[in-house]
This record gives sequence, structure tokens and C-alpha cells, in this order.
Amino acid sequence: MENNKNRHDEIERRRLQEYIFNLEEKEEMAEDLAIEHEHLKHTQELLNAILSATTHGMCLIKKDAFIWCNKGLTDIFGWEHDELVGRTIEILFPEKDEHARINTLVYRELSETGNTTFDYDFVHKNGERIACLVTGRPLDESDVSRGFIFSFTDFSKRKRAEEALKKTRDELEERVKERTKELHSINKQLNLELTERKRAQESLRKSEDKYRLLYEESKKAEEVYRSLIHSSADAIIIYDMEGIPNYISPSFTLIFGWTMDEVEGKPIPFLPESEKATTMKIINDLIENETPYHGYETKRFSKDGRLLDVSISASRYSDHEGKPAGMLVVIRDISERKQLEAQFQQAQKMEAIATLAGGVAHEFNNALMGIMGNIELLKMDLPEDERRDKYFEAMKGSGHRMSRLTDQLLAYAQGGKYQPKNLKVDDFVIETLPILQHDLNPEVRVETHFPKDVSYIKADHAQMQMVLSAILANSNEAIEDEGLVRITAENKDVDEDFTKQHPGLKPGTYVCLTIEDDGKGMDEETKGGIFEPFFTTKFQGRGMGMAAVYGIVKNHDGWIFVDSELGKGTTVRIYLPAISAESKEQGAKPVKQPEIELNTGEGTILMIEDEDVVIEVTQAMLEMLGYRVMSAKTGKEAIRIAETFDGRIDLALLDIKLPDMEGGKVYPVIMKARPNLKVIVFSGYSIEGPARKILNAGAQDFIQKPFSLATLSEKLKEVLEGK
Amino acid sequence: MKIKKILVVDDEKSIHSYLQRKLSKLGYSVYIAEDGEEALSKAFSLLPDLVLLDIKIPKLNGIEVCKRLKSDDGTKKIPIIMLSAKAQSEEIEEGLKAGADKYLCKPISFPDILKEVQNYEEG
Repeated sequence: MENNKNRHDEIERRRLQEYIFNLEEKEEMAEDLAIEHEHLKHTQELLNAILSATTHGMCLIKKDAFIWCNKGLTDIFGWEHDELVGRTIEILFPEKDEHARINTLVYRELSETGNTTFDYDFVHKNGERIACLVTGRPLDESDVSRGFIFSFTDFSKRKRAEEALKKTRDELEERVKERTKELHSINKQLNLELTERKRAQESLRKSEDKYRLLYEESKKAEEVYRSLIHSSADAIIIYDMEGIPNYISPSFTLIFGWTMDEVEGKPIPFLPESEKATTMKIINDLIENETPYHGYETKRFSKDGRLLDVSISASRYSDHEGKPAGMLVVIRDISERKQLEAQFQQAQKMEAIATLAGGVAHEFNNALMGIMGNIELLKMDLPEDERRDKYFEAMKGSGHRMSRLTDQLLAYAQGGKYQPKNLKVDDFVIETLPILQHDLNPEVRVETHFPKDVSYIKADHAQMQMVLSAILANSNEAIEDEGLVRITAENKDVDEDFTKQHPGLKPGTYVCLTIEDDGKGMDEETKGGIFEPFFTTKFQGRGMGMAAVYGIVKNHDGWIFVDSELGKGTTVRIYLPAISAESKEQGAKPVKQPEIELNTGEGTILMIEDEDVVIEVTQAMLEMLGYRVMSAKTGKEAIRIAETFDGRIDLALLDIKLPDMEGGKVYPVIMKARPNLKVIVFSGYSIEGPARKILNAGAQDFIQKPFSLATLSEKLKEVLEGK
Repeated sequence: MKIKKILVVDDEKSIHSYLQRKLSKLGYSVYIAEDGEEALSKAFSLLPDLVLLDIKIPKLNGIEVCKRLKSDDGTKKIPIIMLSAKAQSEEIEEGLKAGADKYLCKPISFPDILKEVQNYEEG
């Protein structure tokens, strides 16, 4: 019973459970429906809001009548909602026929394709036309009887806007056309301008090219100038207007010693005080008047203090605007040229003096001839007496002294190289010194030093004696108390470089004879005048010594140098050409001294001489010696005698200088007339010159005027006897 | 603990399909077993987070299913809510003795069932 009750309870519970769950499910469904209804309501509100808000007109048309329409449609056409619903759509068409026509088209399309789209100008409630785009479709495709939904889009505003836009565009186009026309004309103008400009540019480019070319050329030229300036042997200085150097060339540094760094920014300190005034005047003239200067010779100091002879050329230069910018100065170092010029002038002077000296000596010798000859003749005429001899000796002594002086004059005149012989300088000095030492101060010591191999020279013994004598006399003068004279000789090879500095000297082998003393020496002035005739520092003196030395040395193709400084002694170097070993033995015989005894002779002598003094004394001498004398005072007379004299003539004494013709011209003519005639040339001039020519032509000998009776007798005997 | 998988064991289709629809709506994954053997096999293979178990089911009743699950190490911790039309105190006691964590008597509303389920969730 209990079990039954429990089972029943259990079954009941099960049934209730199903019921409860069923109930719960229904409640839930109701809740879901309510929610869905709410949702639908919401959707409908949304749709209504959209349909009201849209400006598109929407409507439902059934059997050609409005069932529903939205606010958009009433806004487009001006009809109220209630005015439209229930009425046919014909109300929107302008005419009844139009409504029918469009209806036919629209419904045909709808039935064929299920939708329609078209535009059409509908009519507003106020009669205005409204352009609309219309789309339509059935509300329910499966049941077209439920009607059609149409949507109207009013584009009349857009159309008007489009028309306005089109109008604006047309206007714009018109304006653009006009503007284009204008532009075209402007363009044409521009093209013209462009062409003009191109032309200008082209010419500008051409001119640019031209200037570039000019620039390059000027650059090249500048390089050339720079290299010219740089490589110029002359010093080049570019100054600014204040005289400060902007540039100095390498040659400037080479000549003067200063580098650019040393002179930069300041004047070059090379202007000697003595040149200041003249130089400043020139510079002022240059700066103010632009007067250029060429080859202005002046002096400038070098960095190491030497005073250089210079030649200055200067000009003012301007900058690119033509304003004076500075001075270009070219300086040439002419020290060497000046030195050579001085040497040349000296030589010319000497030459002139030599000519004078030669002339004087000639006259002097002729006069002396008269005195000396007549003294000898007079002595012979007077009876022997002690007093007579004393007077005669005194007169002869003076005569010899005068004769030595003319010898020196002639030696200086480079005309006295009577008898050149091969001479060994060391032997000569050793032989000659004892004779000369008598004239020297006993306090003066003479030392000699000769190497063994000193070469021979070709020289006149007597003249060389004169040379040595004159130099020793000077040394003797220079040594005030006691002193030393040192004489040496050595062989010297003279090369081209050496001869360049000593014009007149030829390259070759020389013997250098050096005489040095430790005397007081000479200043520059004394040294400069030492070779001039009659130059002397002595209170009394002949002043011919060193001039004669100069002449003799030059005449022997040699060269003489004097080095001297005050307080440091004097050194004289004489260069004489050495002769080769083969020729040195030839003629190296001792000089023959004239013999004192007279050689009388016989024969006829033709004396050709114009000077009466000479004629008289010579004639007397010749007659005294036993000769018969004919005399001719002119060349023509001599020739006449030679050609017409009917007798023997053994010898002719021929003077060089005759009033009508030179001795040299007379000689061949008389020799033609008398080929066996012996001729002795006698002259107041030296043997060198015209006399030498006659000797070379065949004349037998030469007698230097004045001559002694002994010399004359000796020469005549030698020539006539053919010794 | 988070309960995701729920195994509903009931032979009455109207009951288990309603529970399945309602619980699924709330986000649970709901599996159905219509007899005791199916219940055991699904419980062992799916390892649900909770079991809603009817007692009067074919093949193997709910008491047996409960005992088996509670005696197995892999399933003994799964909360079991018994849902039965048997409402006598000794019947309830038998269920609880078998190892059920909760014993609910039919008829009961879905919100009350859900409340119990959510209790485990919170705990």
C-alpha cells in the first residue's frame, strides 16, 4: 500500500516535472516574442525615420493610385500626404496623354525585367516642372497585384546647377579662348624676345669664350713673364709706391745676397750715401712724372758690404684701373764690365802715352845723337889732358843717363825689343842681381828661390834687366828700414778662364816671375797709377820705371800683376810666355858687349837722313873712321844718287822717317838700282815697327840712335866685312 | 572551479533536451546520456566538470552509476547532483550514501537547478 502510494507520488512528480519544464519553455517563448515585437517596432520606427528623412520621394502605387508616400515625395511635388493617397499618379504629369505613354513604357519594362529606371520632367503642385530620376520595382515579386514601389530623385536643382555650370563653363571657355588668343600673341612676343635673348646669350657666350681665351692667353703670358722675370740674369725688383719690395727675383739674391724674407716689408738697405740724392731725384721723377730710366749707372751695396757697379732701369707700372701701383726695377751688375772698361781705358791711355813717348824719344834721340857724337868728335880733336877727360866723362855720363831714359821711353812705347834671345829666368836673375844690388839699401835682403825646371823665355836681356831693376828700385823705396825681397819663378799653365779676366793674355804655358817685398805697400790710388809714365810717389824721380816695365812685359806678350795693400807689402807677378824645349838652345848665347876700340874702314857710304844735326855728326864720325860720305836728305834724292851716281857705294845708312817718303819705300828702289848694296837702318824709333820690316826685306842691321862712335864703327865693320 | 562540461543523465527526452537547450544558452557544453552504461562510458571518456544524474534510468540505475564514479580515482572528485522523482527520506539517504554531492527532488524549476550548479562553480 505504502509502495503504491510512493510509486504514485513518483509518477506524479515526473508528470509535474515535465509540466513545469513545458511551462517554463512557453514563458520563454512569450518573452522571445515580446522581444521580437519590440525589435520589429524599432525597425519600423527606423524605417519610418529613414523614409521621412530621405530627400528621395518614395511611394507605393497600386492600380495607378497612391497607397503610401513619404515626406520626400510630398516635399518634391508640393502635395500633402493626404492629398496624394488615394489619387492616381496622373496628378504628377503635365498632360493625360503623357501619363498614359509613360505608364505603358514603365509597366512594360517592369513586367519584362522586374524593375524600371527613367527620368522625366514631372509637374509640381505649383505647375513648375521637376526633373526626376525614377526607379521602380514590384512590392512583392511573387505577387505584382500588391503594387509597385517607386523612388523619385529630384535632380532639377542639379540640372539647373549643371546648366548654370555649363553656362559658366561656356563663358569660361570663351574667356579661355580669348585668353588663349592673348596668350598666343604674348607667346609670339615672348618667342621674339627669346630669340633676341638667345642671340644675346650667344653673343655673350662668344664674348665669354673670347674673354676666356684672353684670360688663358694672359695667364700664359703671365707665366711667360713670370718665368722671364724668374730666369732673368739681371736682378728684378717690384716695388710698391712706398719703395717697399713686393718681389725680388732669384738673380737679385744671387747678385746682392738678400732673400725675399730678409727684405720683406722694408726698404732694401743697399743704397750708398753718395748715391742717395741722385737716386731719390730719379725715383721722384719716376713716381710723379712716370719718366722711365734706362741704364742709369750707379753703385749699390751687396749684403756682405761689397760696393757693386750697377746699371739700373726703372719704370712705373699701373694696376688694372690705371692707377700707379709701383715700380719695376731691373738692376744689372756691371762691376765686371766696369773693371774691363777701366782696364781698356787704362790700356788706351797707355797706348796714347806710348805713342807720345815714342815720338818724344825719337826727337830726343836725334838731338842726343848730335850732342853725343859731337862730344866724341870734340874729344878726338882736343889734345889729351886730364881735365879734358874729366869734363868729357861728366858729359858722357849725362848723355848716357839721357840715353837710358829714352831707352825706357822706347821700352814703354813697346818698341824696344831689340834683341830677343832665349833666356832662362832663374839664371838671368842670378847673373843680374849682383849688378843691381849696388843700388839697393844695404838693409834690404834679397832672397831667391827657383825650382829646377823653370822654362826658357824669349826676351831681350837688357830690357829684362830694366824690368828687374825698376821693380827692385820700387821695393827698395817701399822698405823703410830693413826688409826682405823674395824673388821666385815657376811655370804656370794659363787657361781660358784666367785669360777672360786678363784681356790680352793668351792661354798657354808661362813662366811667372814673382818679386815680393814686405815693405809699406801701396794704397788703391798709387796702385792704379803705377804704370803711368811720369807717375811717381818719390819726391824726386824719373817716373818712367814701372811704365817701362809695363811696356816691356806687354811687348814680350806677357802680363804683369801688382798685388799690394798698405802695410802688407807688394807682390809683382810677371807672366812671360815659356818657349818649348826644342827651341830653347837656339841663340842662347851671352849678350855681346860693345867693344871700346874703334874699327876704321874704307869705302863709300850713302847716308839717307833729313835731320841736319844727325847728318853733320854722323858724317864727321864716318869720315873720322875713314869712310867717304855721300848724303841724301830725302828719299827721292837717295834714289836719284843710287840710280845715277857713277861710282861704287858700299853701304847705305837709311833713316826711317824721311820728309817725302818712308824709309821702307826707299829701300826696295835703291836695292833695285844697286842689288849688292848693304843697308843699315838707323832710327830714333825702336827696332820694332817700320825698321823691322826693312830688316825683314833684306837690310843687314839696325843702329839705335843715339849711337856712339864705337857702336857705329863696330856695326860698319861687321856689315861691310860680312861678319 | 570553473564548470564547463556538464553531463546530463536522464532517459526522459523532454527533460534532457530542455536542460541541454537552457544550459547551452548559458554557455555550458552539455552532453547527454540516456542510460547508466552510457553515463559511465561518457563520464570516463569526457571527464565532465559536473554530472546531473537521474536515478530511475535503464540498464544501470543512478545509485550504481554514482557509486562507480565515486569509487574511481579519475572520476571521484566530479560533483554529482542527483535529480530524482524519488522523494522518500530513505531514498534520499541511499542516494547520498552512494556518494552524491547533492540530492534534488523532482519537480524542480530550471532556475533552482541552475542555482545548485552555480554553487559548485563558486565553491
